[in-house]
Amino acid sequence: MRKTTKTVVGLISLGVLGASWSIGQAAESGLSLDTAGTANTAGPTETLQPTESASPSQDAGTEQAADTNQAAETATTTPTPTKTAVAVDKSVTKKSDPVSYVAEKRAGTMQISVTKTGSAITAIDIISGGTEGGQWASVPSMLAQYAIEAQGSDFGNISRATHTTDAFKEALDNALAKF
Amino acid sequence: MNSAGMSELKLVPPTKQVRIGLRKVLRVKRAQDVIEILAWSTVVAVAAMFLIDGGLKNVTDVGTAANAIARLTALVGTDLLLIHMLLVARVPWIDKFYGHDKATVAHKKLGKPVLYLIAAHFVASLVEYSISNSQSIIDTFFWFITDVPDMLLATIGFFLMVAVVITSLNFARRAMSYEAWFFVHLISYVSVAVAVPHVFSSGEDVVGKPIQTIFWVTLYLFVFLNIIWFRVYKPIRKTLRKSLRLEKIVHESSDTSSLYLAGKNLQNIEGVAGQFYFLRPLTPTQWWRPHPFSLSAAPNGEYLRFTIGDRGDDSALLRKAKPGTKFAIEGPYGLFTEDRRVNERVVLIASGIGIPPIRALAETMASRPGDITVIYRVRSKQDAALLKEIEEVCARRGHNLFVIEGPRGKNGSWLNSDGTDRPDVARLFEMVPHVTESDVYICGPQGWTEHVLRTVRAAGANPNFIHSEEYAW
Repeated sequence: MRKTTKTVVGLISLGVLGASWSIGQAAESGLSLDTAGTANTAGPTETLQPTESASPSQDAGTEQAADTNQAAETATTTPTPTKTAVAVDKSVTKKSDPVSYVAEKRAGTMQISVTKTGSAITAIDIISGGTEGGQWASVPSMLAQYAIEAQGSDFGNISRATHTTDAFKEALDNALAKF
Repeated sequence: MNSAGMSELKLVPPTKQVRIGLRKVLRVKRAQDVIEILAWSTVVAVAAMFLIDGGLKNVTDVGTAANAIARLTALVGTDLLLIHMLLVARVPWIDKFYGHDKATVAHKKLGKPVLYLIAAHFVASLVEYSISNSQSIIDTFFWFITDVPDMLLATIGFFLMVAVVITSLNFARRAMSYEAWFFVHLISYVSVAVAVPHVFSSGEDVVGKPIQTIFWVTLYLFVFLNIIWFRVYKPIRKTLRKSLRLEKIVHESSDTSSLYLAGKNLQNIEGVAGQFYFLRPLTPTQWWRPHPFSLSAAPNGEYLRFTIGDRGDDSALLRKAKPGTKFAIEGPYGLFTEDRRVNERVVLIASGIGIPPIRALAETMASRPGDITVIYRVRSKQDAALLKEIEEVCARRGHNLFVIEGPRGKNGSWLNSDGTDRPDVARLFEMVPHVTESDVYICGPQGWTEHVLRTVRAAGANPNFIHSEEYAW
C-alpha cells in the first residue's frame, strides 16, 4: 500500500476496532438469557431463591414416588438451594432420565432431579452434565434459577450454552412428566 | 548450433503502438491498494465481530483469557490462511497487479505467521478446556480427539500443517527431493479441508451466529472456487484446447536448448513476449511436475518456443524429451512485458539464461531505430544462447546491441572486466546515455540481477522504470 493509503486504512481500522470494543463492553455478557423476559441479570448469580415459596394452600403433593429415596442429597458442584420444605406439603423429588447431549465442545449426559413442593417447583439439582470452569461455572445455577422462576422449561436460551440449555430443558420436562 | 538458417529467422511484427506515461503505474498502484485494503478489511472484520460479541469483556481469569486467545487466533489465523492460499492460486486478478513472483513471495511470508496463530489457537484451546474440565492438558487432548466431534480431524489438520511449513523452510527444502516437497504441499490442501468441520460445528464465533456464518462460508467458498477455477479447471481446459506437442528440440549452447511446441489454436494464445508458462511433459513419470519456462520468441501462431537452461536434473531430462511428447500448459504468468513500459526508450539487460524473455521483448517492442538498447552479458560468444538471433533481431529492428563477453569484473561488477576499472555506472551511461529516461528490463541470475539493480538505481533511474522478475514458485 502507498503511505497515505496505509495511514488512512490504519486509522480507520483503529476506529472500527475501538468502536467494536466499546460496543462489546457495553453489550450483555456472553452468558445471558436470550429471549425470556424473566431474566434480567446475566451475571453469575450465586443465590438461588425460589421466587415463590411453596404455599400451604396448594394441595396435592400426595403422590408418593417409589424413587423418592434416590433423590435428595445428590452432591453437585453447583450451589443448590437449601430445600425449604414447608411442613404442610410434602416435598416430592423426581429424577429425570439421563439425556445424552453434545454441547459447546463437550459431550455429556444431563441428569437432574426436581423437587416439587405442592405443585411448585422448589429445587432443581443437576446430578450430571452442565458446564464448569470460568464463566461457565455459573451456567448450571443459572439454568436452575430460570427453570424455577418459569416453573418449567418455558424460559429462554442461555446464549453460548445453547446445547446445555436444550439438554437441561429436555431433562426437566422428562422429570416433570414423572410427577 | 541453430538449425534454422539465419536468413529464415521468423519475426512477428512489433507492436504498432504502446501507451506510455506514468499514469499506468498509478493505476497499478491503485489496484494494489484496493486488493490490499480488501484483504486487510477481512482481518479487521473478524476481529471487530469478535469484539462486538463481547469477546474481551468476559476475560477475568486464566481460563477466560485462554478462551479469548483461542477464539481470536482462530479467527485471524484462518482468515490469513485463506489469503495465504489465494496468493498461490495463480489468480489473474492478483497476478496481473503483483506478478506471480511477488504473490509467491507474499505467500511464503505469510506461512509462518499463519502457523503461529493456528498453533496458539490449538494450545489456548487445550488450556481453556483443561481448566474448565479440571483435567491435565494431556487428558484434555485425548478428550478432545476422542469425544469432541470433528476435533480429531482438526487436530490431524494442524499436525499436517506443521509438517508442511517445516518442509517449506529453506534448509528442509534443500534437503528434500522435489517430489517429496510437492506431495507434502498437496497435503496442505488436505490439512485446511479437514479443519473446516470443527469451524462450523464448534466455532464459538460461528455457530449460531448468522452473520458470522455467512461471512465464513463466503470466504471459504470464494477461495475454494478460485483455486478450483484457476489452478485446476483453466489449465486442464487450456491443455486440451492447445494440445501441445514437442515438435523439435534445438540445442542453443552447451547448456541451453529451445523447445518448439506445436498445437492447435495457437493464434489466440494469450502469452506475450516476456511471459512464462508452466509446462509438464505428459509422460508417465513426469506429468505431475511443472517447469516454469520463458517464451524466447513471441508466439507466432505456429509454435511456442521456450529456451531453457540446464539448471538441474529436471531441465536436463526435458532436453532429452522426444519429439511428439505431449505437454500440459499453465499460464501465461509474469509482468515482465511491454505492458509495464512507461518510456519511449528501453534498455534490455540479460545475462546467461536470462536471455529468453529479453530476446522476445526485443522482437516485439514498439520502437524507432535507436529507441531500444540491448545489453547481453555472456561468458563466451562461442557458447552464448540465442546470440545470433539477438544480433539479427537488433539489426533488423534497429536496436543498439552491446555484447559483454568474459567473466564478471571485480568488486561486484555485473559487466566484464574492461581493464579500465571504471565503475559500472560510468560504463552504463557510456552505453546508454539516456538510461535515466528509459525503462530498464533486467533478467538474469538473482545475484547478478541485484548488482544491475544497484547500478541502475545509482544512475538515478526512477524505480517505476525498472522491471525485473525472478523465477519463484
